[in-house]
Amino acid sequence: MKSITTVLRYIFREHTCYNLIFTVVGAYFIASFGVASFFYVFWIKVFGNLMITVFWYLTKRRFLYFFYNLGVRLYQLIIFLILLDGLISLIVFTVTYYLLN
Amino acid sequence: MSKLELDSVTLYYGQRMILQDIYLKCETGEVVGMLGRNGCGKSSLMKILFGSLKGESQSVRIDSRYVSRLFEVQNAISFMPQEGFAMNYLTVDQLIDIFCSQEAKEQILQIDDIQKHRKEKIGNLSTGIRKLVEVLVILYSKSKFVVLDEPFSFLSPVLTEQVIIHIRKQSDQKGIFLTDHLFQHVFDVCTKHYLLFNGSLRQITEKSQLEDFGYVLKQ
Repeated sequence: MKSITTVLRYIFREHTCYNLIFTVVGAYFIASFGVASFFYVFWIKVFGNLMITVFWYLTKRRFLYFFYNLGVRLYQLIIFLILLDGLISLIVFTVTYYLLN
Repeated sequence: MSKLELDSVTLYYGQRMILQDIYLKCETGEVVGMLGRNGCGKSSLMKILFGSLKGESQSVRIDSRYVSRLFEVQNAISFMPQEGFAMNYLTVDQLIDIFCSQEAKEQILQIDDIQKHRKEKIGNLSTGIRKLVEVLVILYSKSKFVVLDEPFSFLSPVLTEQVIIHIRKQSDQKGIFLTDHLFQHVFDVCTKHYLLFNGSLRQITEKSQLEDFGYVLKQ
């Protein structure tokens, strides 16, 4: 596999950056309703991730070969995607919670 | 020298048999060309070889070692699908940097059409230049084997000649599989030719056999 930073950079560009919309919506819920809204935020994120993934698969499937040519398997791609989005969401939600509470 | 073998490939789409018990071999230094009518399974066979598609059965061996998905083996294979693989926002330079060594980059940039467009984004290139860039990036990648699905389509005659030159050049060190409908070019550049006919692979030694199998009209 090509260096992880290269792979992560293009996963971010292709998928995670669009998911930031749902992260911001989640942050708004946390800022407005506190930790009690986490259950809803979790499902917003799951729904957002699924929506973007399905849209990406339907419209940009050929770019999977970009990642395959880098030696990345499909399941590795999904794990990277979840980890990257999870990490960004965690940072945004934590910062939001401590700044506004 | 490396050897790549694909064996016992069977593929069905629903009830329809596409590929049946296919065997294909390629060594570094060879260019294997594959011809066949539309929808006969050429691209599927290439994808099975690469590892992105699973058939009902298949076995892939590289240097006599069985592998599940060839693309997972480091520097074993690169694939250029017919619809392309590079994101539109990448520049030509960036794409070359991702897949090729510095030495390979210098060779690619010797081509005028690439040099002229090196700072441009892939999405802004004409279809032909985009194809040229993608073919060359895959040809000059670090992999020992290369699969090119329709490398000549959308290319002008001059660019086609360029691609043929570079396929020949790279075939010294790599094994190359290619499929295209421009059979004259496939015959020019390949060392072995096959026709995919009724799910089976037939070796072609003379162009007249293409008429016998109904791939081209009889003169």
